[in-house]
Amino acid sequence: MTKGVVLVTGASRGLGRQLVDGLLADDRVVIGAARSSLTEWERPGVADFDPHECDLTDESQVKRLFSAIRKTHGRLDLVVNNAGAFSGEVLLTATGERFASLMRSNLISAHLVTRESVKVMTHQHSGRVISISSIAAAIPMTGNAIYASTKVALEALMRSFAVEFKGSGITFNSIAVSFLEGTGMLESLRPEARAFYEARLLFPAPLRASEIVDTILYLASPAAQSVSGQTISLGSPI
Amino acid sequence: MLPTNSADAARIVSKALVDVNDQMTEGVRLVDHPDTRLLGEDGVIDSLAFAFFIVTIEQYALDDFDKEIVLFDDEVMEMDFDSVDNPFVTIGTLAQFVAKKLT
Repeated sequence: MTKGVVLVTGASRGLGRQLVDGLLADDRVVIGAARSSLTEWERPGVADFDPHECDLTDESQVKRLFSAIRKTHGRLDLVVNNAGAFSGEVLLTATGERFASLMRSNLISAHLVTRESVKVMTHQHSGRVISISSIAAAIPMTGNAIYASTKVALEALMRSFAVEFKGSGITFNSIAVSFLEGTGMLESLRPEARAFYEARLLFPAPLRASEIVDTILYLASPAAQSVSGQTISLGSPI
Repeated sequence: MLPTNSADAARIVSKALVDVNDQMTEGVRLVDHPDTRLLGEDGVIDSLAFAFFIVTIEQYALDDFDKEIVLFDDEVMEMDFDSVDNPFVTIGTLAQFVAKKLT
């Protein structure tokens, strides 16, 4: 018997791939969604994994993803909005189109996925939506403003869903993460940027994906039924 | 006999009505009849339940007929809820509007 049906977006690589591993290990049926070609990440032979190639910024594709979920699984217990992109540039040179592109990847996709999830979860009178945010939302840094803005907005989006669906049995929260091991993030971070953030965290050591999985499992558990519209920051910005 | 689109529309509106009644508070129920008022002074449905009703119809259109329809389109959004042209006034006008969208 599984512990319910989970959707993880951005499931093909990085943190998303590790979240899929952790949630499958916890006996969940995991639906993965990512833009990458299925052949790169489909995991043949893993019965509880249901991967879908989907551009989450495309409203029509998101609607059809959820139509498939309704037909195949009939329910959805947990959604992890993990898909997103990064763009490091200073505000003076950032174009409107790059800003809009990042908003589509990091915010509008989360709205579309959460909106469609709520339609399924409302029928069940229960569900959990968790968005993966970043400590960048709480710590402004030169060169990260656009990315940070999308993550601030993402957290606000979760709070707004929490208010609109108060009393529905569905909760909406964010997990803001700092540095992650094993995802390529540490290698791609400029040393001065890493030092900047480390100086502003109570726990500057890199996070393991298992810490994020455990936080997700807590928010998905009955113990967290009264937690909604909140952001849990791992690494603890000060 | 109803034309195919009208019959399909009536069917998914009825299915969505069952779902929305399941969400409504005790005692409040929408009757599955073309004259049942949805909006305006005689309407018994609140705005969130109404939104749920509409999106559930859209879901059934996609799931049952592979038709992607949007009922809250720009034209409707600009209408007064009490306008005689508003397709959301009764179950019957809504079903006609859905049939048009399914065409």
